[in-house]
Amino acid sequence: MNPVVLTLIEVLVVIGGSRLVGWLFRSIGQPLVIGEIVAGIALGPSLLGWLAPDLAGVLFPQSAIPFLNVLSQIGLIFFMFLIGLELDPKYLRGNLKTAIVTSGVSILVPFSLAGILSLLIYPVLSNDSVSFTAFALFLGAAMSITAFPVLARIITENNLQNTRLGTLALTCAAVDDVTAWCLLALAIAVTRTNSMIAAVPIIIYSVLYIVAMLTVGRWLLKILSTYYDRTGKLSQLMLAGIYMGVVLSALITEAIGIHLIFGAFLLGAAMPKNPRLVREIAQKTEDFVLIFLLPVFFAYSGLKTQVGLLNSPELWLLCAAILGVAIVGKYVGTYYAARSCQIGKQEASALGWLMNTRGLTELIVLNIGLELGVISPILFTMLVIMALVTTFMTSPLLEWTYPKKSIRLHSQPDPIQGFENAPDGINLALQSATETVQIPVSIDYRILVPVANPNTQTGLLQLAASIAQNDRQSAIINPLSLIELEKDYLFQSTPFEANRLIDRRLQQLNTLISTLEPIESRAIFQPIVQIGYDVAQKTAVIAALDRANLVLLGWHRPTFRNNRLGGRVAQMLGNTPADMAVFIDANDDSSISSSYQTLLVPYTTANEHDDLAVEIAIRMLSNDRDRRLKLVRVISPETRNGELSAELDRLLESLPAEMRARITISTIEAVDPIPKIEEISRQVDLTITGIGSDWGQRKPILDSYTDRIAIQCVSSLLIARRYSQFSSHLSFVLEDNHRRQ
Amino acid sequence: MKKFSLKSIGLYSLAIGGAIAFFHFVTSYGEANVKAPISVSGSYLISGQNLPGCLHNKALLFKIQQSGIYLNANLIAIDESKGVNVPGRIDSPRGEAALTEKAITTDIRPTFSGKLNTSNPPNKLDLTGLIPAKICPLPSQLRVTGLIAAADAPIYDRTPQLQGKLWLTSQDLIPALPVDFTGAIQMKTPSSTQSH
Repeated sequence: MNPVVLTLIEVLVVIGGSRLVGWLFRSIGQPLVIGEIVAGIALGPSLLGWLAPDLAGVLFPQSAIPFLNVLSQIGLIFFMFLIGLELDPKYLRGNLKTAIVTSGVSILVPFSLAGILSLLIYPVLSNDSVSFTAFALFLGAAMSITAFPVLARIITENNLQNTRLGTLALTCAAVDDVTAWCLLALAIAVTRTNSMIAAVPIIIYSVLYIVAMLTVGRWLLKILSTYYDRTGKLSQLMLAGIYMGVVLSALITEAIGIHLIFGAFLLGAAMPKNPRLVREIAQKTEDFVLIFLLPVFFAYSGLKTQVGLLNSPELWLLCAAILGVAIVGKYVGTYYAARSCQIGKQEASALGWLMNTRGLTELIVLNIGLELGVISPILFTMLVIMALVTTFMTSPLLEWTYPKKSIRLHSQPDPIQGFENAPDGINLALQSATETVQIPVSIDYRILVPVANPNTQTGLLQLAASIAQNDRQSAIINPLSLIELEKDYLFQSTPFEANRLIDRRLQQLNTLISTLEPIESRAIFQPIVQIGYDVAQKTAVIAALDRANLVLLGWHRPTFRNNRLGGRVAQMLGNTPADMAVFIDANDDSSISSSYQTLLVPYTTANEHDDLAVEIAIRMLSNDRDRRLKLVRVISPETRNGELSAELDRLLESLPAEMRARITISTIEAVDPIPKIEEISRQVDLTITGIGSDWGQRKPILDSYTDRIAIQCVSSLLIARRYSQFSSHLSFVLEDNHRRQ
Repeated sequence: MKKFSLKSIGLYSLAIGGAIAFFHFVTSYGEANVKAPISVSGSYLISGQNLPGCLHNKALLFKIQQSGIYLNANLIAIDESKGVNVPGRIDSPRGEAALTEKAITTDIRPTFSGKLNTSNPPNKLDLTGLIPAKICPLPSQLRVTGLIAAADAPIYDRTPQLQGKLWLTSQDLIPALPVDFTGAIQMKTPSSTQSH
């Protein structure tokens, strides 16, 4: 077959495979890049070559591998350029002293342990064409690596970028990254010359080139940056110049005797960190590199990874030893160094696991080692397994040692206006640079409001304010907005870029809040903006962490579904561990706010959800003296003759007379009450109803009553679902009663 | 940013100096006392005139992949009419072309595995594996043992020769008398010593 056609077919399979496996890994909460590496391995002799050797032979013949190699090397060069571009000196601002100690020790310990391990491994896994020094240096470099780009994304995905742990880990990883690349350059120089002394000229040339890049190169790039600021756009000519610079720099470092990747990395690192320019270069470069070329690199690596070579227990024991030394070296080194810098046990432990991430940076090192012959095929496979395991374990171990709820306790946020002097405040890191807030313990009532689109949720927030705002009880409303980053290894997933997106969303939310009436209601809003992918799961977690009294969710009517509250809403109704209400705004223009002066509660099914509906309505009554409530008892075959529950009866009796006077209780009798409710709902601003009694008993989980009322109710509708056994919505009424008695 | 005190700088220097000294000690000890096995990876051409059974009269390339003392290999039949330079160490494009054309479907996963002795006797390899069906249609197992000659030469000038015995076990053969063979290296697996 024509090699070009064959290579294109290979690329097709590689991209498809890496996307598929990457998606599978994302779905279990792992970084996409792990899935892509696994996909590459699966396409090689370890899986495809084992299951279908003939197919593997036809798809990836030896004759086509050089073509894949060229593509993967180009991909690698530009990927290293992107890594360099991402390496912002701003990362070095946080805890530099602690970071230098921690990252220094986190390199020295595994590096030294690797030296000892080399004494064991060199005689069995290397050969006499490789000097012991080169072997030990390479193994040391491989063990010392921390994958800065992967770590940065894990930190962003866990919303840790503004916590002390996150900033410290990023600084450590940035220092580690630079140190490890220097170490690798040294290892390559020694490997190529086979002695430390002979490598000295290469080291001198490399240092000179680094100095030249950071002075002359940076000066030239600054001119480019200034020109960009003046023109405001990155022209193709400028980009061509930058790409030529990348290739030229790569060729120079190759000619010096280190490796192509260093030149590309260096140019990226030397690039002035003009945020707009960096973003535009990254965005224009990354799609093709990350989607097309990097998976080819993974496939190329996968073709050389042969898990089948580990065919005896002694080899697996050696693999376990390598894994053990890598993990212990990194974790123990980091942990004790961090502890010596007065970092708490939990944070030090989490930092240890974060620094243990090796990811694809390790893969780059290993490929160079294999290409140079300093790493044998079996050792390559063992180290690939080590890279995968250490990266795979990071997210779960991070969650285990530093559960998300710990973020509340360990961050040191700035207080927001209005709560500076709150007594006994507890810190709540709400995951963005500017909205990390301090919520006083004395807050009595909290509503969490997931906001999908800040531009269309005025009605929802207005309703939240109507429910929450109360002169006898402190209350907070947390509009929750999730930023769903591309599930990719993109520039936007870097911590600084993610923060920029968070700030922008926060600004949108604040603009929305500033339109709410009355003005004093705006003070109780404290937006939460997070990076997240699953709104249902995230809402459930935050509702539990914040001990939200009510989760208020807006609902958009689905056009093509009969199940009115299906999909994500149903998922949230099923999973959120707090009382919940789903709001269906009758106003087509949801930017128009309403004060909800007349309320209707049809007491239809007499279950705990209906009780919650009444409680919310009474709470709203207590918040506004002009508000009125129509409580309609429905007598139907399904109800207990429309009788209110005993608790509700007691509650109504205990209300102040003034409030009771604003409640009208009537009774309707009907086999099918919904047409009557529909009719009454024409006369009110808001109908509040409990979810039907058969909710949750069948799939899809919603019931016909709720479905029907969602369709037929004329006014805006609030569907309540009780979770908590104890009512918290009217605690102030009970306190008043207690005082009166 | 906090300034670094002299004490801190002294401690860092001590830690880095200590690590370098330790590394120097380990590498010095390693260079002097820890020996790796000789490099044997490469493709060895085995002439087929004396070979038994299905291997008879076939020119074979025994491609060894080395990871220290652990060896893996492929057996590849080559078409001599397409031109392979025999014997001796050859890096010619012709030789490579013949190898790659025939290696297409057999080169992905090694089917032989074994070990290289480092003592008693040194440099003796012993590999066992299945012969690909394209060479022997009936399931056949082959054991290859041999000594690497020219192991004493300097690494850069070394052209190892493989001399040893083959045991072929197959359904159509009475087992299994060893047959002597000689393998001359054709191509070394690329490594730092060659590529740079």
